Amino acid sequence: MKYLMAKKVIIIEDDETWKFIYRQQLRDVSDIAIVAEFERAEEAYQHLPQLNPDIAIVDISLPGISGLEFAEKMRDHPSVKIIFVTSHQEEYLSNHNTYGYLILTKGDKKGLLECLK
Amino acid sequence: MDKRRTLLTRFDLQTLTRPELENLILELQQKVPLSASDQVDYAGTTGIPEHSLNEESLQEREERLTALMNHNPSLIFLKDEKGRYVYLNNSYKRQFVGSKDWYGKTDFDFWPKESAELFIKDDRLVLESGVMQQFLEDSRDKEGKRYCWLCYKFPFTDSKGKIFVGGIGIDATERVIAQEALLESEERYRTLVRYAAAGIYEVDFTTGRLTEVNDAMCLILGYKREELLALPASNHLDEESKKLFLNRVKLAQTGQHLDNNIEYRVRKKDGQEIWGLFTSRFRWENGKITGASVIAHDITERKYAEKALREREQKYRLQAEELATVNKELESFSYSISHDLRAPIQAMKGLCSIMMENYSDKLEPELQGYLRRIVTSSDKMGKLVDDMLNLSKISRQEMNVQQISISKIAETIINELQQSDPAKKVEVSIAQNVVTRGDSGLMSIALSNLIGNAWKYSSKTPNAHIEFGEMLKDGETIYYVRDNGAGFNMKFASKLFEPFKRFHSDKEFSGTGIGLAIVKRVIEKHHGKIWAESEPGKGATFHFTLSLTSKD
Repeated sequence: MKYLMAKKVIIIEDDETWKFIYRQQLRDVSDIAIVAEFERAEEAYQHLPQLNPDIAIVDISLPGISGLEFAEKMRDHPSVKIIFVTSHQEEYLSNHNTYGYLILTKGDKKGLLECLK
Repeated sequence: MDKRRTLLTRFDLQTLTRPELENLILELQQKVPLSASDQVDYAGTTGIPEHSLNEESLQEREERLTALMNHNPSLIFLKDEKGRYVYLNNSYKRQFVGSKDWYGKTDFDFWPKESAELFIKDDRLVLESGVMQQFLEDSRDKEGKRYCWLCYKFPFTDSKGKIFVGGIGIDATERVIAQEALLESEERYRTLVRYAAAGIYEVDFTTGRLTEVNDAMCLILGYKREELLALPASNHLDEESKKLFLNRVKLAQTGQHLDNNIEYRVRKKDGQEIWGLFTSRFRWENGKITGASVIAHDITERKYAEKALREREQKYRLQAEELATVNKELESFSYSISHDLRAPIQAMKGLCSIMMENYSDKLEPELQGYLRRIVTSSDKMGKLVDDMLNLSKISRQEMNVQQISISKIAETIINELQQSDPAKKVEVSIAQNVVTRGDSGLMSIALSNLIGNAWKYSSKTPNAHIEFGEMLKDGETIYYVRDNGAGFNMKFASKLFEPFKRFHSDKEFSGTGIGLAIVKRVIEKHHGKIWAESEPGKGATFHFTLSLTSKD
C-alpha cells in the first residue's frame, strides 16, 4: 500500500557510500520509495519509461554524461522533478543558479527531506 | 764632450746616427734662405759680371761687398789661424759684440768658455781638413740664452799666404727646438706604446708583416718581438677570423664604413686559442689600403665569462619555466585534492549523523560523544579544505583589471561587519577617494580579510579603532589597515602570511589561518607587496602596495 501511495524516487550516484547514506536518510520517510539506483545517467535515462519516477536525486559529477547534461535530456520528461546533489554547491550557486534546479549539498538531510515534500 | 752630440743627446736621442744628423742639417738648410753655393757668391766675386770688373775701382767693389755683408742677417766672420777675429759683419757686431773693440779678439771675449771652445774646435777641424764643412753649433751667449747655429766654415788663404777660417752662421735655434720637441714627443709616444697594457702593432699589408709591435702584443701572442716581426701577420688568426679580416679589408676598400672594433680568434705561439678585440685604423696610400695600426686586447676571459653567463641565464630561464610549470601543477593538484576531499569528509559526517539519529537508543553515551567529536573534526577538516580551495582558486583566477575605489570597498566591508555585530562599538576612519587599478572582486576579498582581521582582533579592545588610509613614500603609494587590537609578536612576522599559520588559539580568536595567505596572493597578483608592523597588545598595521600599470 505504501508502495502505491509513495513518490517514486530514483538515485543517480556513482559513489556507493553516498547511495548508502541516501538510503539511510530516506529509510523512515513514509511516502518515499526508492525504486532504482544507477551509477550512470545514461542507464537511468534508458530505464525511465519502465520506472516512471516522480523524483530523481542526481549527483552533478558523474562518469559519462554529467548530471547537468542529464537534466537537459530530461526536458522531454517534465514530470520528473530533479534534485541535484553535490559537494560543491557554491560553484553552481555562484552561477546565479541559472539552471533553475534544486541544488543540495551532499549530506544535507533536512534540505533533502524538504525538497522531497 | 762634443757639443753637437750634446745637443742631440739632450733628450735621450742616442739613436740618432750620423746619416740622421746629416738629414737634420739638410732639412735645416732647406728651411733657411741661404744655401752653401750662395755663400760662395757672397764671400767671393763669382756672381759679378766680368766686363764691369775692370772698370770698377777697388773702393767701389769694397763698398758693394761691405753692403752685402752688413745687410745679411747671418753672422759672417773671418778669424785668423789663432782664432782672432779679422772681420765681423754688422749682424754679428750688433748681436754679440756691441760697441766694444773686436779686432784681434777671440771667441773667449764674446762667448762663455764652453761655447768658445766649441767654436774653436770646429774651426780647427776645418783648418785640418782644408775643406768647407757644416756644423750645428749649440751655444749660449753670455746671458745664457741658447743659440743653435747652422754654421758653414771654410778655410781661406790670402795672397800673402796667411790662413783664415771664414764662417757664415745661420740662427737655427727655433728649428732645433721645434725638432727637439718633435723628437721628444715621438719618444714619449714610443714609450707610451711600448709600455701600454694593450697590444699595439702596425702591419704592412704589402709585405704581410708587422712593422712595429709593443711588449703587450708580444705577451698576448706569446712570441718574442723579433719572432713576431719575422712571421706573416696572418699566421696568428684562425681560418674563420682570416676570412673575416680579408672581407673587412675588401669592404673598406670599396669605401664602406666599418666599425673600428672587431673580435678575432687568435692562435698563440703555444697553440692556445684566445679571443682578441682589435681596434684598427687602415693606412691608405694612393687610394689603396696598404696597412693598419691596431690596438689589441685579450678578451678571452671576458668571452668565457659571457658564455658562462649566457649558459647560466639559459639555465635559470629553463629552471624558472620548470618552476612555473611545477607551481601550476601544484596549484591544480591542491585544487583537485581540496575539491575531491570535500565529498568523503561530508560522507563521514553524514554517516556519523545517521548513526547518532538512527541508533541513539542503542549507543552508549560515551560512544555518542566520540561520534560528536568525529562530526566536529569533520566540520573543521571541511573548513580547512574549503580554505585551501579558496586559496588555490584565487591563484588560478583570471584578473579583471579596472579602475576601482578602495575607499568604497572598505566602506562596504565595514558596513557589513557593523550589521553582523551591531552591538560592537568601533571607531572607524576610512580615507576617501582612494582609487587605483585592480580586480574589484579580488580586492574585496583581500580587504575583507584585512578589515575583518582588524575587526576580529580588536573585538576585545575597549575604544576599538580601525583605520584605512594611504600614504606616499618614495613616490610609491602605500595603503594600510590599522587597528589597536591584540597585535602579534614581530618575531612571527615572516610566518604571518603562510597558509594555516595562527598566532592565537581558537578559543581566543577563531579562524583557520588562511585569510592573510589569501590577502598576500591577491596583493601579489596586483604586483604589490604586503608587510605588517605590530606589538602585542598595541594593535597591528598591515601595509600593502599595488603596482598594476595601465598595461596589466
